[in-house]
Amino acid sequence: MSLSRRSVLAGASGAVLASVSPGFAQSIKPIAAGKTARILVLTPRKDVGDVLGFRDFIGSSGLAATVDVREVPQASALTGMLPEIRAAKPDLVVTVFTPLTLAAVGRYDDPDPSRYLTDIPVVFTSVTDPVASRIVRGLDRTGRAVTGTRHIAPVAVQLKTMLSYRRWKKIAALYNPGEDNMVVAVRDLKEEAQRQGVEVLDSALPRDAAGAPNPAAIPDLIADAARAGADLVYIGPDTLVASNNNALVAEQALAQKLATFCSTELPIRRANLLMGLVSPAVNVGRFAGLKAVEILSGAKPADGIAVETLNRFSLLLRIGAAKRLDLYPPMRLLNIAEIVQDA
Amino acid sequence: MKLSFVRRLNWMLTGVVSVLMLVSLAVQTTHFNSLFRPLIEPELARKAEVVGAYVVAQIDRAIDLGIAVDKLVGMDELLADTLAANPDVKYIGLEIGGRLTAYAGVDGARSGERLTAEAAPEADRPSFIDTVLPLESDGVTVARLHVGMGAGFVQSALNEVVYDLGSVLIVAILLNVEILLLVVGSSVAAPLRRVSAVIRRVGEGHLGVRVDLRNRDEVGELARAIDWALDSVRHRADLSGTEPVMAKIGMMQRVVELRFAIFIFSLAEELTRTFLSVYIKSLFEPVPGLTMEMVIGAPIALFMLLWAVSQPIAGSVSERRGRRAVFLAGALMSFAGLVGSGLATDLVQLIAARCLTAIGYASVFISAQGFVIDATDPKQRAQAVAMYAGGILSAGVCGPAIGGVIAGQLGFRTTFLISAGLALLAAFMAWRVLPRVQVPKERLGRGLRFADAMLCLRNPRFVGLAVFSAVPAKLGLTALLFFLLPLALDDQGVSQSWIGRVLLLYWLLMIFVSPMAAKLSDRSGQRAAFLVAGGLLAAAAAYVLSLPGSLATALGGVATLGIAHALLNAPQLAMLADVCEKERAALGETTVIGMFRLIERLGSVVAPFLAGLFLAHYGYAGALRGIGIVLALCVAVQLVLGMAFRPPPADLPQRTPA
Repeated sequence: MSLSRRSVLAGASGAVLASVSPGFAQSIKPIAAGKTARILVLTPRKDVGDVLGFRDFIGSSGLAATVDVREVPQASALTGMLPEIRAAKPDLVVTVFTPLTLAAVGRYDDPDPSRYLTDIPVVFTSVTDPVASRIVRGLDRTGRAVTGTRHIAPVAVQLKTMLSYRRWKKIAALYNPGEDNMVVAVRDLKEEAQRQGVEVLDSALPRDAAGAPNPAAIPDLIADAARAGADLVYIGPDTLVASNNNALVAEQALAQKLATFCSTELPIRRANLLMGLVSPAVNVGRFAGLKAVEILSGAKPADGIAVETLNRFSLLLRIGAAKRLDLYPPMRLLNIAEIVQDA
Repeated sequence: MKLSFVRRLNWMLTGVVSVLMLVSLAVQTTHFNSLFRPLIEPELARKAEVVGAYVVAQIDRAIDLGIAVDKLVGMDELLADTLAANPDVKYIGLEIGGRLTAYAGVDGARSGERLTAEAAPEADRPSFIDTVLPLESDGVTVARLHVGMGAGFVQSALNEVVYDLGSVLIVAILLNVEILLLVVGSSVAAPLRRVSAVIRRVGEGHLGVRVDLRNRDEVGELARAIDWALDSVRHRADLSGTEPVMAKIGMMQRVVELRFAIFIFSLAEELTRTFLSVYIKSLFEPVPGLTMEMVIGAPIALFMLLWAVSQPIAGSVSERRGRRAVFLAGALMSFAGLVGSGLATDLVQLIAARCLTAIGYASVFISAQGFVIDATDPKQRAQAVAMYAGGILSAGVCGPAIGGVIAGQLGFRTTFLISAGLALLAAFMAWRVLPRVQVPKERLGRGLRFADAMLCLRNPRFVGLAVFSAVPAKLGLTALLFFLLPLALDDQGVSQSWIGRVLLLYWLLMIFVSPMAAKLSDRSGQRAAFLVAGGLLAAAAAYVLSLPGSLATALGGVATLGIAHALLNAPQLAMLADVCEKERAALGETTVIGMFRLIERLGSVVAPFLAGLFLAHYGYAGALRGIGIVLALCVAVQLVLGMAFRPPPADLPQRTPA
């Protein structure tokens, strides 16, 4: 992937999908004559971009389908909902983010029909690393009726983007060690950073007495990182840190005069983070919609569709944060970035 | 034959023409400055504005986002990116309150944090044209973006024109000489000389002679008046009986005319000199087992080989079939060969066409030389041959200079076609000039025979001279000037016009230094010293050419080579007469010289292969130096042979070692 001009970044992924959908509108036949497909979407929140993009794509695809969206804020609650989901007899289930996907389908090498959905095709969206999380066997051959889309740029590209802002010496990776995908992501970041001669400070959330990772420690972790000489705080596709505590991370980092980078869209859109290299969630959701249509129309079997990522990413910069840090983006980056304005 | 009349006229006319050309050159140059500069400069400024506006738009966006202009990060890189995309822009600088905060471009336009390029806009010759674009924030100018275009762009374009005109001046002077020689020589000087000869015979009492000129001009009138007077006197004196016809005088006139045809014909070859090796390279296709440099050397080497081999053959054919037939056939073959070279689409076709051209050249030159020898008696011969050779030499000067300009403007292929046209023109002139009937043969040198060659080659001093002085001279000329230098200069991006000017220098020095060197070597009698000096100088020239610095070193090296070969030219022939007394007696002078020339040409044949081989292994600088080393080694061998086989002193019999 390369960073090209902003217009390309912002437009391309959407444009690709938009040009694909009319073709399907003609070729699609409902699963059975007179029958509309029933799609059940499981998501932590109804308003995430993935869901909007998915609905939008299904709506414009010409497929006769109903989309039922259910909020499941805690992934652990999903197992209890399984009988209810099965009773609804959906033709396809869509899961948003890694925890909910893992809770819905389990690991590919441990399929347990009593605890997971095994008889319904599942399309996931915005899953960081489905192979490392053992949701699928491989990206091209998933090994089960589960496929979907990823939303994270390769770690080398993320690091390159960070370093093209400034030549940072030390990066603090702030993450929840309880999320497998984050453990993998931080390991990859460390390897890549070592190649580039950059030090990565491991700022994993400590666990509380009950063994659960404790987000209340975020201010202390950031203060420690600042004392240890870090220049930038990295947050990955982390539900606890990036999705649920982005405002806390942003304000603490600004207070410590630390730059921030995130690899998902929501945190930088919501909080005062400095920059992010992201796949816009709406586009990732649309891409998942395309895969759902392929399955429901019978064009391809669910286990024959590769897990893919969009190959263009948007660089988001928040000028307000740059001003507060007095750390302005270089012109080259400014030229290709989408600027996020303070609310 | 002396052409004092022509010489005087030539100096006068050349002087006038030179002055006129120089005046026009000066006028043109000032006009370029006053007329074209005002046209070109706004065009450059407009381009600068377009480039600047692109940068300004990016900075404006940053300012709109609330980034203060002095807080911009990465401006140097942004400017460098823009500069890289616009190679004719010399610099871009962001200036805030008189200080350059970001800059990309040449060092000459700034000093520290200040832009010096705009400092003296009233200066006579600013080196940059500075365009300023303001950057505004809330309606206030907060910074200025400077975009500099090189004013040298205009200047270098002007210089090119001046240099071209300078080359044309030299060419014009030489053409002037050629045309004067043709017109005055054939219509005035030669007829007048015939008139003098006739009057002198009359004075000796031979009243039966006649001038017999058909010129329709004042000289012709004079001739007819004299004939009428002679007829009238003879009639009154009632003398009958005719005197034997005075031959040869009409022939001299033709030698002069032939010189012009040969000049035109040589021009055809010389026009393609600057770019031939580059052209061959452009048609190159890989041949298994051979390096590219060897392959592109092949057409030149084959050309030289065929030329060398077909020259004696064409010579003997022309003795049997007539000079005219062989000249015409050769010129037509060259015409076809040059057309073929211009249209060739691959290397094989080009090689075939070049081979045809080579045979044509050999036929033309040998038959023309044969005609000059036939048409003159031994007393006039040396001068006539010198005059004929002069035509070839001035073509050597004019050709690359004109050819470089034509090739630069119209391309290689068109230049070949123009050359072909010249060859055809030369054929037409020869058709008019050369007599249809074969000239009764005088004693001519026998054809070259193997036994003759062996006789010469058994003489170690001949070998020393031919193989280690004459061969390296030709080798140096072909390898350095015809093969490596055009390729190397083209590789460095030097224009065809400049390559032409560089090659011109060689011939110019040959023309001016050769006669001086000849006089000096005759006066001093130190011929061997001249040969050694010339040989070493040629080796030094190769070394100079190998130094980095493209144009300056090329000019220096070529000048050195020109002087070196000028030193060798006359002393070689004089030395040949000294070392080959026995052989000259046995075989005749023409045969010995023919043998010498044939061996000499081997240098031209070997040169492209040797140069190609060096080039493939050591690159341009290495190849040039390699040729220099070969030349130096030849001088060493020549010295050793000269020492070992000293001519025996005339009065003392050589003593056998005890």
